[in-house]
Amino acid sequence: MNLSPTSAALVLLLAVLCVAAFGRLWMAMAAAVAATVGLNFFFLPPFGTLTVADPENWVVLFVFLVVAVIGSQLSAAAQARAREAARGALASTLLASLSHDVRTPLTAIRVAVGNLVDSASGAERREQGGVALGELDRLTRLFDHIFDMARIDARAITTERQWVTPADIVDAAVTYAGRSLDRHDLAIQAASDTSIHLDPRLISSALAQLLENAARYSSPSSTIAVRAAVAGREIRISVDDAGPGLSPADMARLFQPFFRGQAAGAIPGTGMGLAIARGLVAAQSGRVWAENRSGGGARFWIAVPAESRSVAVT
Amino acid sequence: MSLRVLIVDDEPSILAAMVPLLRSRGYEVLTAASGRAALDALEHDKPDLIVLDLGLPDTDGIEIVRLIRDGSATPIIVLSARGKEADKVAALDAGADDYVTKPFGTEELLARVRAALRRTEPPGAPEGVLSCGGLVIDRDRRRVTRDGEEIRLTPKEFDLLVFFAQRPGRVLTHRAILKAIWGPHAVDQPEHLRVLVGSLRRKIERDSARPRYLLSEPWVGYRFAEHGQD
Repeated sequence: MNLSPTSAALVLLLAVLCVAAFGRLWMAMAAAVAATVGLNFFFLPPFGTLTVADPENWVVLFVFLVVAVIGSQLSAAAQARAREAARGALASTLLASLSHDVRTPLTAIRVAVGNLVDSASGAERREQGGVALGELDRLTRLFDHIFDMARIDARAITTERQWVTPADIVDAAVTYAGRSLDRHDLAIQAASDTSIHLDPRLISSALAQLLENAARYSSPSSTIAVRAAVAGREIRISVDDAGPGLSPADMARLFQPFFRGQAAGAIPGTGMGLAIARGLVAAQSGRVWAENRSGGGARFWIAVPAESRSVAVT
Repeated sequence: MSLRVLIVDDEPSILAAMVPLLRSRGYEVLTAASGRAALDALEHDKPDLIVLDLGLPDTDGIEIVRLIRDGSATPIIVLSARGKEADKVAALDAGADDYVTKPFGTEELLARVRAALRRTEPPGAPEGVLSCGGLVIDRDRRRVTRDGEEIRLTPKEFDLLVFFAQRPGRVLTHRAILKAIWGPHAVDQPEHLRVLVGSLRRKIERDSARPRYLLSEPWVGYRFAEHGQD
Protein backbone atom coordinates (compact mmCIF):
# COMPACT_ATOMS: atom_id res chain seq x y z
CA MET A 1 0.00 0.00 0.00
CA ASN A 2 1.51 3.34 -0.91
CA LEU A 3 -1.41 5.44 0.37
CA SER A 4 -0.27 7.64 3.27
CA PRO A 5 -2.08 7.17 6.61
CA THR A 6 -3.58 10.70 6.30
CA SER A 7 -5.04 10.06 2.84
CA ALA A 8 -6.27 6.63 3.95
CA ALA A 9 -7.99 8.19 7.00
CA LEU A 10 -9.73 10.77 4.82
CA VAL A 11 -10.91 8.14 2.31
CA LEU A 12 -12.22 5.93 5.14
CA LEU A 13 -13.94 8.93 6.75
CA LEU A 14 -15.62 9.68 3.43
CA ALA A 15 -16.86 6.07 3.28
CA VAL A 16 -18.24 6.30 6.82
CA LEU A 17 -20.07 9.55 6.05
CA CYS A 18 -21.54 8.01 2.87
CA VAL A 19 -22.92 5.15 4.94
CA ALA A 20 -24.25 7.68 7.47
CA ALA A 21 -25.90 9.77 4.75
CA PHE A 22 -27.78 6.90 3.12
CA GLY A 23 -28.01 4.19 5.79
CA ARG A 24 -29.26 3.86 9.34
CA LEU A 25 -27.46 5.12 12.41
CA TRP A 26 -26.33 1.60 13.52
CA MET A 27 -24.81 0.97 10.09
CA ALA A 28 -22.89 4.23 10.31
CA MET A 29 -21.61 3.40 13.81
CA ALA A 30 -20.52 -0.07 12.67
CA ALA A 31 -18.77 1.51 9.66
CA ALA A 32 -17.01 3.97 11.98
CA VAL A 33 -15.66 1.15 14.17
CA ALA A 34 -14.70 -0.99 11.15
CA ALA A 35 -12.91 1.97 9.55
CA THR A 36 -10.99 2.64 12.78
CA VAL A 37 -9.90 -0.99 12.98
CA GLY A 38 -9.05 -1.04 9.26
CA LEU A 39 -7.00 2.16 9.56
CA ASN A 40 -5.02 0.59 12.38
CA PHE A 41 -4.59 -2.80 10.66
CA PHE A 42 -3.55 -1.62 7.18
CA PHE A 43 -2.13 1.87 7.50
CA LEU A 44 -0.54 2.36 10.93
CA PRO A 45 2.82 0.66 11.62
CA PRO A 46 3.40 -2.14 12.41
CA PHE A 47 1.23 -3.05 9.39
CA GLY A 48 -0.99 -6.16 9.42
CA THR A 49 -1.50 -6.10 13.19
CA LEU A 50 -3.91 -4.45 15.58
CA THR A 51 -1.07 -3.03 17.68
CA VAL A 52 0.30 0.49 17.35
CA ALA A 53 4.02 1.28 17.60
CA ASP A 54 3.96 5.06 17.96
CA PRO A 55 1.79 6.08 20.97
CA GLU A 56 0.81 9.28 19.10
CA ASN A 57 -1.07 7.09 16.60
CA TRP A 58 -3.44 6.04 19.40
CA VAL A 59 -4.48 9.71 19.50
CA VAL A 60 -4.94 9.66 15.71
CA LEU A 61 -7.11 6.53 15.93
CA PHE A 62 -9.17 7.95 18.80
CA VAL A 63 -9.79 11.28 17.02
CA PHE A 64 -10.68 9.40 13.84
CA LEU A 65 -13.26 7.33 15.70
CA VAL A 66 -14.77 10.39 17.40
CA VAL A 67 -15.04 12.32 14.11
CA ALA A 68 -16.63 9.33 12.36
CA VAL A 69 -19.17 8.84 15.18
CA ILE A 70 -20.09 12.56 15.38
CA GLY A 71 -20.46 12.68 11.59
CA SER A 72 -22.77 9.64 11.66
CA GLN A 73 -24.91 11.15 14.37
CA LEU A 74 -25.26 14.53 12.65
CA SER A 75 -26.26 12.76 9.49
CA ALA A 76 -28.80 10.57 11.32
CA ALA A 77 -30.31 13.66 12.97
CA ALA A 78 -30.60 15.41 9.59
CA GLN A 79 -32.29 12.33 8.15
CA ALA A 80 -34.74 12.19 11.06
CA ARG A 81 -35.62 15.86 10.54
CA ALA A 82 -36.17 15.30 6.84
CA ARG A 83 -38.42 12.29 7.56
CA GLU A 84 -40.35 14.34 10.13
CA ALA A 85 -40.81 17.20 7.64
CA ALA A 86 -42.01 14.75 4.98
CA ARG A 87 -44.45 13.23 7.47
CA GLY A 88 -45.68 16.75 8.38
CA ALA A 89 -46.14 17.65 4.71
CA LEU A 90 -47.99 14.39 4.06
CA ALA A 91 -50.21 14.88 7.12
CA SER A 92 -50.84 18.45 6.04
CA THR A 93 -51.95 17.34 2.56
CA LEU A 94 -54.12 14.53 3.95
CA LEU A 95 -55.77 16.83 6.49
CA ALA A 96 -56.41 19.53 3.87
CA SER A 97 -58.11 17.00 1.63
CA LEU A 98 -60.11 15.53 4.53
CA SER A 99 -61.14 19.02 5.60
CA HIS A 100 -62.32 19.74 2.05
CA ASP A 101 -64.30 16.48 2.04
CA VAL A 102 -66.07 17.48 5.26
CA ARG A 103 -66.68 21.07 4.22
CA THR A 104 -68.37 20.16 0.94
CA PRO A 105 -71.35 18.31 2.47
CA LEU A 106 -71.54 20.89 5.30
CA THR A 107 -71.85 23.66 2.72
CA ALA A 108 -74.45 21.78 0.68
CA ILE A 109 -76.50 20.95 3.80
CA ARG A 110 -76.34 24.54 5.05
CA VAL A 111 -77.55 26.01 1.76
CA ALA A 112 -80.20 23.28 1.32
CA VAL A 113 -81.59 23.74 4.85
CA GLY A 114 -81.53 27.50 4.24
CA ASN A 115 -83.64 26.93 1.12
CA LEU A 116 -86.11 24.80 3.12
CA VAL A 117 -86.40 27.44 5.86
CA ASP A 118 -87.03 30.13 3.24
CA SER A 119 -89.84 28.23 1.59
CA ALA A 120 -91.35 26.84 4.83
CA SER A 121 -94.92 27.91 5.38
CA GLY A 122 -95.47 27.36 9.09
CA ALA A 123 -93.67 28.97 12.03
CA GLU A 124 -92.95 25.53 13.45
CA ARG A 125 -91.09 24.42 10.33
CA ARG A 126 -89.06 27.61 10.24
CA GLU A 127 -88.19 27.04 13.89
CA GLN A 128 -87.07 23.48 13.19
CA GLY A 129 -84.99 24.76 10.29
CA GLY A 130 -83.43 27.29 12.66
CA VAL A 131 -82.51 24.48 15.07
CA ALA A 132 -80.86 22.55 12.23
CA LEU A 133 -78.85 25.60 11.12
CA GLY A 134 -77.76 26.35 14.69
CA GLU A 135 -76.58 22.78 15.22
CA LEU A 136 -74.85 22.84 11.86
CA ASP A 137 -72.86 25.85 13.08
CA ARG A 138 -71.87 23.89 16.17
CA LEU A 139 -70.87 20.91 14.07
CA THR A 140 -68.76 23.14 11.83
CA ARG A 141 -66.95 24.62 14.84
CA LEU A 142 -66.39 21.14 16.24
CA PHE A 143 -64.83 20.04 12.94
CA ASP A 144 -62.67 23.16 12.88
CA HIS A 145 -61.43 22.27 16.37
CA ILE A 146 -60.78 18.64 15.46
CA PHE A 147 -58.81 19.63 12.35
CA ASP A 148 -56.81 22.20 14.30
CA MET A 149 -55.95 19.59 16.93
CA ALA A 150 -55.00 17.05 14.28
CA ARG A 151 -52.74 19.55 12.51
CA ILE A 152 -51.05 20.44 15.80
CA ASP A 153 -50.62 16.74 16.70
CA ALA A 154 -49.17 15.88 13.30
CA ARG A 155 -46.92 18.97 13.39
CA ALA A 156 -48.56 19.91 10.10
CA ILE A 157 -48.72 23.63 10.87
CA THR A 158 -46.93 25.76 8.34
CA THR A 159 -45.87 29.26 9.28
CA GLU A 160 -45.76 32.25 6.96
CA ARG A 161 -44.24 35.27 8.64
CA GLN A 162 -45.20 38.84 7.86
CA TRP A 163 -44.90 42.25 9.53
CA VAL A 164 -47.98 43.14 11.58
CA THR A 165 -48.80 45.24 14.64
CA PRO A 166 -50.23 43.92 17.93
CA ALA A 167 -53.39 45.94 17.09
CA ASP A 168 -53.84 43.96 13.84
CA ILE A 169 -53.57 40.68 15.73
CA VAL A 170 -56.24 41.68 18.25
CA ASP A 171 -58.46 43.08 15.48
CA ALA A 172 -58.29 39.76 13.58
CA ALA A 173 -58.88 37.71 16.74
CA VAL A 174 -62.03 39.72 17.55
CA THR A 175 -63.22 39.11 13.97
CA TYR A 176 -62.50 35.36 14.27
CA ALA A 177 -64.32 35.11 17.61
CA GLY A 178 -67.26 36.91 15.97
CA ARG A 179 -70.66 36.66 17.59
CA SER A 180 -69.44 34.75 20.63
CA LEU A 181 -68.30 38.13 22.05
CA ASP A 182 -71.58 39.94 21.35
CA ARG A 183 -72.82 39.85 24.93
CA HIS A 184 -69.66 41.22 26.56
CA ASP A 185 -67.95 44.60 26.76
CA LEU A 186 -64.52 44.63 25.15
CA ALA A 187 -61.76 46.88 26.46
CA ILE A 188 -58.80 46.77 24.08
CA GLN A 189 -55.38 48.34 24.50
CA ALA A 190 -53.20 47.26 21.62
CA ALA A 191 -50.05 48.92 20.35
CA SER A 192 -49.95 50.02 16.71
CA ASP A 193 -46.59 51.81 16.81
CA THR A 194 -44.48 48.63 16.61
CA SER A 195 -44.50 45.88 14.00
CA ILE A 196 -43.48 42.30 14.69
CA HIS A 197 -42.45 39.53 12.32
CA LEU A 198 -44.47 36.32 12.80
CA ASP A 199 -47.34 34.28 11.37
CA PRO A 200 -50.27 36.41 12.53
CA ARG A 201 -52.91 33.81 11.67
CA LEU A 202 -51.64 31.39 14.30
CA ILE A 203 -51.43 33.90 17.13
CA SER A 204 -54.79 35.51 16.21
CA SER A 205 -56.49 32.11 16.13
CA ALA A 206 -54.96 31.29 19.52
CA LEU A 207 -56.12 34.65 20.91
CA ALA A 208 -59.61 34.05 19.49
CA GLN A 209 -59.74 30.80 21.49
CA LEU A 210 -58.80 32.69 24.66
CA LEU A 211 -61.47 35.34 23.94
CA GLU A 212 -64.16 32.72 23.36
CA ASN A 213 -63.06 30.99 26.54
CA ALA A 214 -63.30 34.26 28.50
CA ALA A 215 -66.76 34.98 27.07
CA ARG A 216 -67.97 31.49 27.88
CA TYR A 217 -66.95 31.52 31.56
CA SER A 218 -67.89 35.07 32.56
CA SER A 219 -71.35 36.57 32.88
CA PRO A 220 -72.90 38.51 29.98
CA SER A 221 -72.22 42.27 29.92
CA SER A 222 -69.10 41.88 32.08
CA THR A 223 -65.89 43.25 30.62
CA ILE A 224 -63.19 41.30 28.78
CA ALA A 225 -59.96 43.30 28.73
CA VAL A 226 -57.29 42.64 26.11
CA ARG A 227 -53.82 44.15 26.22
CA ALA A 228 -51.23 43.57 23.54
CA ALA A 229 -47.75 45.07 23.36
CA VAL A 230 -44.19 44.28 22.38
CA ALA A 231 -41.98 43.71 25.41
CA GLY A 232 -38.30 43.06 24.78
CA ARG A 233 -37.98 40.36 22.15
CA GLU A 234 -41.54 39.08 22.32
CA ILE A 235 -45.15 40.09 21.88
CA ARG A 236 -47.24 39.69 25.01
CA ILE A 237 -51.01 39.55 24.99
CA SER A 238 -53.23 39.22 28.06
CA VAL A 239 -56.95 38.51 28.31
CA ASP A 240 -58.72 39.37 31.58
CA ASP A 241 -62.18 38.11 32.38
CA ALA A 242 -64.55 38.73 35.28
CA GLY A 243 -65.43 35.04 35.64
CA PRO A 244 -65.01 32.84 38.72
CA GLY A 245 -61.24 32.46 38.29
CA LEU A 246 -59.29 29.19 38.28
CA SER A 247 -59.00 26.60 41.03
CA PRO A 248 -55.47 25.29 41.74
CA ALA A 249 -56.54 21.85 40.54
CA ASP A 250 -57.71 23.23 37.19
CA MET A 251 -54.63 25.36 36.74
CA ALA A 252 -52.28 22.42 36.18
CA ARG A 253 -54.38 20.70 33.51
CA LEU A 254 -56.04 23.71 31.88
CA PHE A 255 -54.27 23.39 28.54
CA GLN A 256 -54.58 19.62 28.18
CA PRO A 257 -56.84 18.42 25.39
CA PHE A 258 -60.41 17.57 26.45
CA PHE A 259 -59.88 18.83 30.00
CA ARG A 260 -62.82 20.87 31.30
CA GLY A 261 -62.45 22.83 34.52
CA GLN A 262 -64.71 22.92 37.56
CA ALA A 263 -66.39 26.11 36.32
CA ALA A 264 -67.43 24.32 33.11
CA GLY A 265 -70.50 22.67 34.66
CA ALA A 266 -73.24 22.65 32.06
CA ILE A 267 -71.57 25.25 29.82
CA PRO A 268 -71.19 23.67 26.36
CA GLY A 269 -67.66 23.34 25.01
CA THR A 270 -65.35 20.85 23.36
CA GLY A 271 -62.46 21.08 25.83
CA MET A 272 -60.20 21.68 22.86
CA GLY A 273 -60.03 25.49 22.71
CA LEU A 274 -57.20 26.09 25.18
CA ALA A 275 -55.22 23.06 23.94
CA ILE A 276 -55.48 24.47 20.41
CA ALA A 277 -54.36 27.89 21.65
CA ARG A 278 -51.31 26.28 23.25
CA GLY A 279 -50.49 24.23 20.15
CA LEU A 280 -50.80 27.18 17.75
CA VAL A 281 -48.59 29.34 19.95
CA ALA A 282 -46.05 26.55 20.49
CA ALA A 283 -45.72 26.18 16.70
CA GLN A 284 -43.99 29.58 16.87
CA SER A 285 -41.95 28.77 19.98
CA GLY A 286 -44.33 30.81 22.11
CA ARG A 287 -46.13 29.91 25.34
CA VAL A 288 -49.50 30.38 26.99
CA TRP A 289 -50.30 30.36 30.68
CA ALA A 290 -53.01 31.45 33.09
CA GLU A 291 -53.22 33.07 36.50
CA ASN A 292 -55.85 34.44 38.86
CA ARG A 293 -56.18 38.20 39.08
CA SER A 294 -55.90 39.75 42.51
CA GLY A 295 -59.28 41.45 42.04
CA GLY A 296 -60.99 38.20 40.95
CA GLY A 297 -61.35 36.58 37.54
CA ALA A 298 -58.74 34.90 35.41
CA ARG A 299 -55.95 36.31 33.25
CA PHE A 300 -54.62 34.35 30.30
CA TRP A 301 -51.31 35.18 28.67
CA ILE A 302 -49.78 34.56 25.25
CA ALA A 303 -46.11 35.35 24.65
CA VAL A 304 -44.41 34.72 21.31
CA PRO A 305 -40.79 35.63 20.54
CA ALA A 306 -40.51 37.77 17.43
CA GLU A 307 -38.29 40.30 15.75
CA SER A 308 -39.75 43.82 16.02
CA ARG A 309 -39.36 47.24 14.42
CA SER A 310 -41.05 50.57 15.02
CA VAL A 311 -43.69 51.73 12.59
CA ALA A 312 -42.81 54.89 10.73
CA VAL A 313 -45.91 56.58 9.38
CA THR A 314 -45.61 59.80 7.49
CA MET B 1 -84.61 40.52 -18.12
CA SER B 2 -83.21 38.63 -15.16
CA LEU B 3 -79.50 38.58 -14.36
CA ARG B 4 -77.50 35.48 -15.26
CA VAL B 5 -75.27 33.77 -12.70
CA LEU B 6 -72.79 31.06 -13.68
CA ILE B 7 -71.87 28.68 -10.84
CA VAL B 8 -68.62 26.73 -11.35
CA ASP B 9 -68.17 23.82 -8.93
CA ASP B 10 -67.37 20.14 -9.46
CA GLU B 11 -69.49 18.99 -6.49
CA PRO B 12 -72.99 18.00 -7.64
CA SER B 13 -74.41 18.48 -4.12
CA ILE B 14 -73.20 22.09 -3.95
CA LEU B 15 -74.75 22.81 -7.36
CA ALA B 16 -77.99 21.05 -6.34
CA ALA B 17 -78.31 23.35 -3.31
CA MET B 18 -77.11 26.61 -4.87
CA VAL B 19 -79.12 26.50 -8.09
CA PRO B 20 -82.57 26.65 -6.39
CA LEU B 21 -81.29 29.29 -3.93
CA LEU B 22 -80.29 31.71 -6.68
CA ARG B 23 -83.35 30.85 -8.83
CA SER B 24 -85.66 31.62 -5.91
CA ARG B 25 -84.15 35.12 -5.83
CA GLY B 26 -84.94 35.72 -9.48
CA TYR B 27 -81.57 34.98 -11.08
CA GLU B 28 -81.16 32.87 -14.17
CA VAL B 29 -78.66 30.15 -13.21
CA LEU B 30 -76.10 28.29 -15.36
CA THR B 31 -73.66 25.69 -14.09
CA ALA B 32 -70.26 24.33 -15.08
CA ALA B 33 -68.28 21.52 -13.43
CA SER B 34 -64.80 22.31 -14.77
CA GLY B 35 -62.61 25.24 -15.71
CA ARG B 36 -62.92 24.39 -19.40
CA ALA B 37 -66.72 24.26 -19.23
CA ALA B 38 -66.70 27.57 -17.34
CA LEU B 39 -64.71 29.31 -20.09
CA ASP B 40 -67.06 27.86 -22.75
CA ALA B 41 -70.13 29.04 -20.83
CA LEU B 42 -68.56 32.47 -20.41
CA GLU B 43 -68.16 32.78 -24.16
CA HIS B 44 -71.57 31.44 -25.20
CA ASP B 45 -73.94 32.46 -22.44
CA LYS B 46 -72.46 35.82 -21.34
CA PRO B 47 -73.25 35.54 -17.61
CA ASP B 48 -73.50 38.73 -15.49
CA LEU B 49 -71.70 37.09 -12.56
CA ILE B 50 -69.49 34.03 -11.99
CA VAL B 51 -69.37 32.11 -8.69
CA LEU B 52 -66.18 30.04 -8.90
CA ASP B 53 -64.92 27.26 -6.62
CA LEU B 54 -61.12 27.57 -6.32
CA GLY B 55 -60.61 23.78 -6.00
CA LEU B 56 -61.57 22.54 -9.46
CA PRO B 57 -60.08 19.27 -10.72
CA ASP B 58 -58.83 20.31 -14.15
CA THR B 59 -57.28 23.75 -13.70
CA ASP B 60 -55.75 25.82 -10.92
CA GLY B 61 -58.45 28.17 -9.59
CA ILE B 62 -56.27 31.28 -9.69
CA GLU B 63 -55.38 30.48 -13.31
CA ILE B 64 -59.08 30.32 -14.23
CA VAL B 65 -59.66 33.73 -12.63
CA ARG B 66 -56.82 35.06 -14.79
CA LEU B 67 -58.19 33.42 -17.94
CA ILE B 68 -61.67 34.83 -17.32
CA ARG B 69 -60.25 38.31 -16.63
CA ASP B 70 -58.23 38.18 -19.84
CA GLY B 71 -61.26 38.67 -22.03
CA SER B 72 -64.05 39.78 -19.75
CA ALA B 73 -64.99 42.16 -16.95
CA THR B 74 -67.69 39.86 -15.53
CA PRO B 75 -67.57 40.00 -11.73
CA ILE B 76 -66.20 36.87 -10.04
CA ILE B 77 -66.89 35.61 -6.52
CA VAL B 78 -64.58 32.78 -5.48
CA LEU B 79 -65.50 30.03 -3.02
CA SER B 80 -62.57 29.18 -0.79
CA ALA B 81 -61.69 27.30 2.41
CA ARG B 82 -60.94 28.55 5.89
CA GLY B 83 -57.31 29.46 6.49
CA LYS B 84 -56.47 29.88 2.81
CA GLU B 85 -55.81 33.63 3.02
CA ALA B 86 -52.93 33.46 0.55
CA ASP B 87 -55.26 31.87 -2.05
CA LYS B 88 -57.88 34.52 -1.41
CA VAL B 89 -55.41 37.36 -1.86
CA ALA B 90 -54.00 35.69 -4.99
CA ALA B 91 -57.51 35.31 -6.45
CA LEU B 92 -58.38 38.93 -5.65
CA ASP B 93 -55.09 40.16 -7.12
CA ALA B 94 -55.76 38.07 -10.24
CA GLY B 95 -59.03 39.94 -10.72
CA ALA B 96 -61.68 38.27 -8.56
CA ASP B 97 -64.11 40.69 -6.93
CA ASP B 98 -64.88 38.92 -3.69
CA TYR B 99 -64.75 35.60 -1.87
CA VAL B 100 -66.96 33.50 0.38
CA THR B 101 -65.53 30.94 2.78
CA LYS B 102 -67.02 27.44 2.85
CA PRO B 103 -69.24 26.54 4.59
CA PHE B 104 -71.20 29.77 4.03
CA GLY B 105 -74.78 30.68 4.89
CA THR B 106 -77.36 31.61 2.27
CA GLU B 107 -77.68 35.25 3.40
CA GLU B 108 -73.92 35.74 3.29
CA LEU B 109 -73.72 34.39 -0.26
CA LEU B 110 -76.70 36.43 -1.46
CA ALA B 111 -75.25 39.63 0.04
CA ARG B 112 -71.96 39.04 -1.81
CA VAL B 113 -73.83 38.31 -5.04
CA ARG B 114 -75.81 41.57 -4.76
CA ALA B 115 -72.66 43.58 -3.95
CA ALA B 116 -70.74 42.08 -6.89
CA LEU B 117 -73.59 42.70 -9.34
CA ARG B 118 -73.85 46.29 -8.13
CA ARG B 119 -70.33 46.83 -9.45
CA THR B 120 -71.57 46.36 -13.01
CA GLU B 121 -74.10 49.16 -12.68
CA PRO B 122 -72.88 52.49 -14.04
CA PRO B 123 -70.96 54.29 -11.27
CA GLY B 124 -72.81 57.02 -9.44
CA ALA B 125 -71.85 60.66 -9.87
CA PRO B 126 -68.63 61.56 -8.06
CA GLU B 127 -70.53 64.24 -6.12
CA GLY B 128 -73.63 64.05 -4.02
CA VAL B 129 -74.63 62.31 -0.83
CA LEU B 130 -73.89 58.69 0.18
CA SER B 131 -75.74 57.26 3.11
CA CYS B 132 -75.32 54.01 4.95
CA GLY B 133 -76.99 52.92 8.21
CA GLY B 134 -77.11 56.33 9.95
CA LEU B 135 -73.89 57.54 8.35
CA VAL B 136 -74.38 60.35 5.81
CA ILE B 137 -71.45 61.40 3.63
CA ASP B 138 -71.82 64.68 1.74
CA ARG B 139 -69.08 64.60 -0.87
CA ASP B 140 -69.69 68.15 -2.17
CA ARG B 141 -69.21 69.77 1.20
CA ARG B 142 -66.86 67.06 2.51
CA ARG B 143 -69.00 66.62 5.61
CA VAL B 144 -69.93 63.44 7.47
CA THR B 145 -72.72 63.01 10.00
CA ARG B 146 -73.77 60.01 12.08
CA ASP B 147 -77.38 60.13 13.29
CA GLY B 148 -77.40 63.85 12.55
CA GLU B 149 -74.24 64.67 14.50
CA GLU B 150 -71.26 65.97 12.57
CA ILE B 151 -68.02 63.95 12.64
CA ARG B 152 -64.79 65.81 11.88
CA LEU B 153 -62.46 63.88 9.61
CA THR B 154 -59.03 64.70 8.22
CA PRO B 155 -58.85 64.90 4.39
CA LYS B 156 -57.23 61.41 4.18
CA GLU B 157 -59.81 59.89 6.52
CA PHE B 158 -62.56 61.44 4.40
CA ASP B 159 -61.05 60.08 1.15
CA LEU B 160 -60.78 56.61 2.68
CA LEU B 161 -64.38 56.68 3.93
CA VAL B 162 -65.68 57.75 0.51
CA PHE B 163 -63.61 55.03 -1.20
CA PHE B 164 -65.21 52.42 1.08
CA ALA B 165 -68.74 53.82 0.94
CA GLN B 166 -68.71 53.75 -2.87
CA ARG B 167 -68.02 49.99 -2.71
CA PRO B 168 -70.36 48.69 0.00
CA GLY B 169 -70.34 44.97 0.80
CA ARG B 170 -67.19 44.20 -1.21
CA VAL B 171 -63.87 43.06 0.13
CA LEU B 172 -61.07 45.50 -0.74
CA THR B 173 -57.49 44.26 -0.45
CA HIS B 174 -54.87 46.24 1.43
CA ARG B 175 -52.99 46.77 -1.83
CA ALA B 176 -56.04 48.05 -3.70
CA ILE B 177 -56.86 50.56 -0.95
CA LEU B 178 -53.26 51.74 -0.58
CA LYS B 179 -53.02 52.30 -4.31
CA ALA B 180 -56.28 54.27 -4.44
CA ILE B 181 -55.58 56.52 -1.43
CA TRP B 182 -51.79 56.98 -1.50
CA GLY B 183 -50.85 56.01 -5.05
CA PRO B 184 -48.95 53.07 -6.58
CA HIS B 185 -45.72 53.81 -4.69
CA ALA B 186 -47.44 53.02 -1.35
CA VAL B 187 -48.75 49.50 -2.02
CA ASP B 188 -46.09 47.88 0.16
CA GLN B 189 -46.68 50.07 3.19
CA PRO B 190 -49.71 48.53 4.88
CA GLU B 191 -48.91 50.35 8.14
CA HIS B 192 -50.22 53.60 6.61
CA LEU B 193 -53.55 51.96 6.00
CA ARG B 194 -53.78 50.29 9.40
CA VAL B 195 -53.14 53.54 11.24
CA LEU B 196 -55.67 55.44 9.11
CA VAL B 197 -58.32 52.73 9.52
CA GLY B 198 -57.73 52.84 13.28
CA SER B 199 -58.28 56.59 13.49
CA LEU B 200 -61.28 56.49 11.14
CA ARG B 201 -62.86 53.75 13.24
CA ARG B 202 -62.41 55.76 16.42
CA LYS B 203 -64.43 58.54 14.82
CA ILE B 204 -67.20 56.76 12.93
CA GLU B 205 -67.78 53.63 15.01
CA ARG B 206 -69.76 53.69 18.25
CA ASP B 207 -67.48 50.96 19.66
CA SER B 208 -64.21 50.90 17.76
CA ALA B 209 -63.32 47.52 19.35
CA ARG B 210 -66.34 46.09 17.57
CA PRO B 211 -66.70 47.94 14.28
CA ARG B 212 -70.06 47.97 12.51
CA TYR B 213 -69.12 49.90 9.37
CA LEU B 214 -65.48 49.22 8.65
CA LEU B 215 -65.06 45.46 8.99
CA SER B 216 -61.75 43.57 8.93
CA GLU B 217 -61.18 40.67 6.61
CA PRO B 218 -58.17 39.34 8.50
CA TRP B 219 -54.91 39.32 6.47
CA VAL B 220 -56.83 40.10 3.25
CA GLY B 221 -58.31 43.58 3.54
CA TYR B 222 -61.41 45.44 4.68
CA ARG B 223 -65.08 45.46 3.83
CA PHE B 224 -67.50 48.34 4.29
CA ALA B 225 -70.73 46.89 5.72
CA GLU B 226 -73.65 47.25 3.38
CA HIS B 227 -76.07 48.81 5.81
CA GLY B 228 -73.94 49.29 8.90
CA GLN B 229 -74.12 45.77 10.35
CA ASP B 230 -76.02 45.16 13.54
